[in-house]
This record gives sequence, C-alpha cells and structure tokens, in this order.
Amino acid sequence: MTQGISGASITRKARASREVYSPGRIAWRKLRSNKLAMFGMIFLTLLIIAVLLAPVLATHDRDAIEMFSMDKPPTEKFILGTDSIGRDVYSRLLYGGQISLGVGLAAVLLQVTIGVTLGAIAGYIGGAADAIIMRLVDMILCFPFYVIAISMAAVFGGSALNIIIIIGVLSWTGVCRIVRAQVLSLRSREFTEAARALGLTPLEIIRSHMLPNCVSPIVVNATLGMASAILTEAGLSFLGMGVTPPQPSWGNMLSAAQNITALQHYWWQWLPPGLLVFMTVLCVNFLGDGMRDALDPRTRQAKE
Amino acid sequence: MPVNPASAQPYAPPSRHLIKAAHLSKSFQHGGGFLGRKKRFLKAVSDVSFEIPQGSAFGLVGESGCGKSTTGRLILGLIEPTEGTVYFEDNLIVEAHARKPLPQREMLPLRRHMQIVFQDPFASLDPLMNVGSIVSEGVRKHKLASGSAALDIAAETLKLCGMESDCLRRYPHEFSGGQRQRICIARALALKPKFLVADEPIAALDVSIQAQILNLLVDLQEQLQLTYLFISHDLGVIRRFSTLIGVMYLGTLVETGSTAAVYRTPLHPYTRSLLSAAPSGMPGQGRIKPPLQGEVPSAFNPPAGCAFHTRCPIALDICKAVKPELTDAGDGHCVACHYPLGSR
Repeated sequence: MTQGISGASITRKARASREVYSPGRIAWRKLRSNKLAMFGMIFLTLLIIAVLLAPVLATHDRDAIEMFSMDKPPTEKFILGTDSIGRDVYSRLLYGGQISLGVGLAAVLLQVTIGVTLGAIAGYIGGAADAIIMRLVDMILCFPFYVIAISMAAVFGGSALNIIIIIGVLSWTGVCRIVRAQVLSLRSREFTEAARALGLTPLEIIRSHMLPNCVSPIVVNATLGMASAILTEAGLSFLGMGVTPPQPSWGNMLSAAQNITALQHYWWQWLPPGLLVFMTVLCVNFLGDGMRDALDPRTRQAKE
Repeated sequence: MPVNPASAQPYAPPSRHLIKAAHLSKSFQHGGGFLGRKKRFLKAVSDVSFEIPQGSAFGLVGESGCGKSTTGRLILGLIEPTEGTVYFEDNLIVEAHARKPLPQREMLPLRRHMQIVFQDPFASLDPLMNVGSIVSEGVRKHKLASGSAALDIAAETLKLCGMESDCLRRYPHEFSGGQRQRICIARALALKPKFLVADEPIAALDVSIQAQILNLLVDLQEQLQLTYLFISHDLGVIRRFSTLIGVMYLGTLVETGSTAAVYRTPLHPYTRSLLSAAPSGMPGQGRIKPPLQGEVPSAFNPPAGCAFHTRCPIALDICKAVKPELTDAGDGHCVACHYPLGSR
C-alpha cells in the first residue's frame, strides 16, 4: 500500500467490523434487485464461459469437413446439423462466439479508451484543445456509419482486427461527449478546487476525482456500445466485409441465410447464430439499462 | 448569532504580514469566441489591495456578487488575476500575466500552508471517496505520511474538528451539512496550514449548526495560531470573528480597518448603511437611517467614478467623475470616499 489507502481497501477492512454503504455497494444492491438485468448478466456469463470452453465443448473440429454430410439436419452426431460444405454448426457456433464477443469487447475497449482520453482533455483543458476535439467529433458524427465502415473494410480487407479498429475509430464520439460534459460539470464543483488547493496536478485531479465520477455514464455507454458493436460485426460479416471464412463468426454464419434454399429448408444453419446475436444484444441492453438505473445518483438513497 | 462586541480585540499595528495582495483585478469574459456573441467582460474584482498580519482574522464583507469569493480564490492562486500580485510571507505566489510565477516544485510546499473551506459542504466533498481518503489526500500528496500513518493524521484532525474516528471509512452521503463542513475543515487543517480562507463557511448551514462551526473555527485559530481570511455577508459573524475587516462593494474595497473602529465609526456611506441595515438584536433600538435605495449596478458595466455614487445619499459631482483612492484616515483605518463621514 505504498500509494496510500485507496477507497476500496478501506472498505474491505471495514466490512468486517461494520456495514459500510459505499456508493459502489449501493449500486450493486440495486442492480441485484433488477430481475431483467440479473437475467442478462447470468445469460452473458454462461455464454462467455461456454465460448471460452469451446475447445472442450465442441464435438467436432472447427473447420473439419464431412464429405458426405452436407446440409444435414440435427442428429446425434451433429447436434445442430451441418452447413453447406459439411461442417458441424454447433462447434462453429462456439468458435464463432469467440470472434463475435471478442470483437464486441475489443471494439468497446478501443472506443472507450479514445473517447475517455479525448473527452477528459477537451473538458479539463478547454480552449483550443476543446474546440479541435469537438469539431472532430462533429465531423465523425456526420459520416454515414455503414457507408464508411464498408468502404474501410473493402480498402483494408476484412479481418477481426480490422473490424475492431473500424468500429472503435468510428464510434468513440458518444463516450467522448459524455466524458467531456461530465468533466466540465465536475471541474466547477468545489471539491475540484479543494484538490487544486491541496496542490494536486491536473493529471492527478483527472485520475482520482474526475474519472471515478465519470465511471457510471462510461460503463452504461460502453455496455450499450458493445451491443451495437456485436451487431455491426454481424452486419459486416453478413455482407462479406467482415471476418473471412473459414474463420467463423455469428455474422458470417448468418450469411447462409442469403441462400434462398437454406433460408427455406435448412433452418439450423441460420437460426442458431441469429438467435444468439439476438439474445446477446438483448441481454447486454438489459444489463446496460439496469446499470444506468443502479448508478443513477437520484435513486441512490432510495433503497437502503 | 450572539454578538459580543468585547470579543473584537483592540487593533495593534501588525509586526509582519502573512498575506499581501496588491492591486488585484479579475475580469471574466462572457461570449466571444468563433462566431460567438459579442465579447463582454464582467469586472468581478478591481484594484483590491490589503495585507493580513500574522495571526489575525481578516473579515471580508459585502453583498452577494461583490467579488468577495473571487478575491479569496485569487489569493490562493486558484484563478489567475487580470492584474496584481499576491505575496505569501516573502514569496511572490501570484502575478498577473506570468502564468506561474513560481515553478510547481517551489509552489507545492507553499500550498501546504494555505488552504480553503468552501460555502457548500455538499459540493466540496468527492462523493466517491471515503472520509479517510478525503482528509488524508493532502497529507499523502505532500508526502507528510503514507498508508496508515496518513490515516492516523486524518483521524487526529477529524477529532480536533469534533468528528468521531469511526467516520474514516464512511462516505460523504452519510453525513449532515454541519458534519460535512467539519470534514472540509479537517481536510484543510490536516496539512497544518498557516493561512485559511473561509469562504462563507456557515452560509449554507442551519442556524443552530452555524454557531457550532463558528466556535470551532475560533477555537482552532487559538489552538493552531491560524491566520484567517473570513468571507461573509453576515455582519454579526464578521464582528464576532475578525480583528480586521474589509468592506467590498462592486469589486472594490471601500473601507478597511480594525473591526472595532469600523463598527464604531464607519467612514464610508456604504459601510454605514450596511451596519444600520443589520438587526441590532436590541428591541426598541431603532435603525439610524432609511435603508439603501436602488440596486447594485451591473458588474459588466460598472459606473464611472466612485462605484457607489448611484446609490450614495451624499454623492456630489466629483463622485461621478473621479474614482476615490483607498486612503488612511488615521490608525490604519482606510476609506475610499471623497467625503468620508467622519470629516463632516
């Protein structure tokens, strides 16, 4: 504990002696009482565990082709049937989840990193830095998202990494605006002035007072951003601009539905990935909404 | 608020100043910018000079919006002045046009010795930090102690300010306004400062709590030999608290002197009307003068000459044209008026 006592470590010590209502604990209790949010959280946790255990849970090799069982309906050997070239849909679904969830998470991390950094700079320093950053945000918000994303994917080629970068670079503006607005309002609060009177540098003030107070809007925005990142990846892959086969993703598995025969007769090829995208996005949104309610300071004292 | 005139100690010429502010001015820009509205400047503080001797309490009094709080923040270097300088002991700590008169490495040790307590105890504590972290933050920053030693200092200071030590692990939302203000005072005092700016520290509190906090501040001054800049609009509080007093009107200092002298013989017409507007606390004791007429002029467009001439009952032509300087009328009692009340 060379850095001194952080809020968390004191809270942990205190728990033994006396119940402490830290702001984080209050939010957690409120989140726990929200059934939809808890359903979303449990579903997502199970999904993430399943996807991470893909090598164990998969019944077949990801890219193994069974020459004589193409477009076969679900059987005991192939739980969810096979695709048009005879690969096991169930196994590919698990591996595809790694890509889809991974891309969603990484894209959100990238957009939060860019957004928080630029937003904090714009809000705290203000002046020319603020003007430049906010005009950049305005410019990016003017881009028609899919047109730019598809052209970028066409130019740089489709791969998981490129999709992450495209989504990250095009959608950090929301977080940036939120952080800037929050920092602007926090900067005029008296505890910031008190910190300056104590001698803290701008960087220390941003790190220890501004960012912790921005966490709730960032978390909410990031959760909802993850839902849209998963959808974007699925959309781009469906159009053939995203993750390239044989590497599976839920999006490019869905592109089986482009074939009218598959759409009419081979439901097992497109329904499971579609359902998973749907359920994942739904659960992420439930969780995001729940976190927004739990972290809202106006309802903070309500349930104690 | 009980007022005991005897507690205002007699004024003795100071041997040494702790804070010296010279010709401080601050204008805030409104509008302007790229394709923005027309630029306008709000003159919050103009040409304010005073000294605060070691160990005294300087009370700054005036109506809302007269620049009291801005002056307090200028002195601590929390905002940059448009004009003027501030010395702490013999160190030039604030200078207009020089963004940082002292490098951070030399300013940091001085910061320790000047702290501030704000008006609103609800906005001045970070809601996500527990009290122990809040009070020990400065101690850790200045490397006076770390880890549990820093928390011990925090607990000690909180005890000095009348808080139980079990509050270390609790969070600001669990405390009342008066308790929060005690925490704010503890945060400021944990660094063992020499100088404390108290910016309307009791204005946001209930009356019963006001007296407690005020008595706490008085006790702390005696125990720790603190020097105060006490900002308030409450004349009774200032009288109880300060040895010296400065009266501000529309960004300028119109009268300074020992509290006893200013209350006994106010020289500026504004000071006199302020004093006569304060409730006497003695039934049957009528007020001397009718209260002031009119409104405070806008700080965007302050009147020429004496800032007070638009409302002054005795203003003459010269008051509209020439700005009076703050001049000594004897015994360190200074007034900025062409026709001070005692002279007639």
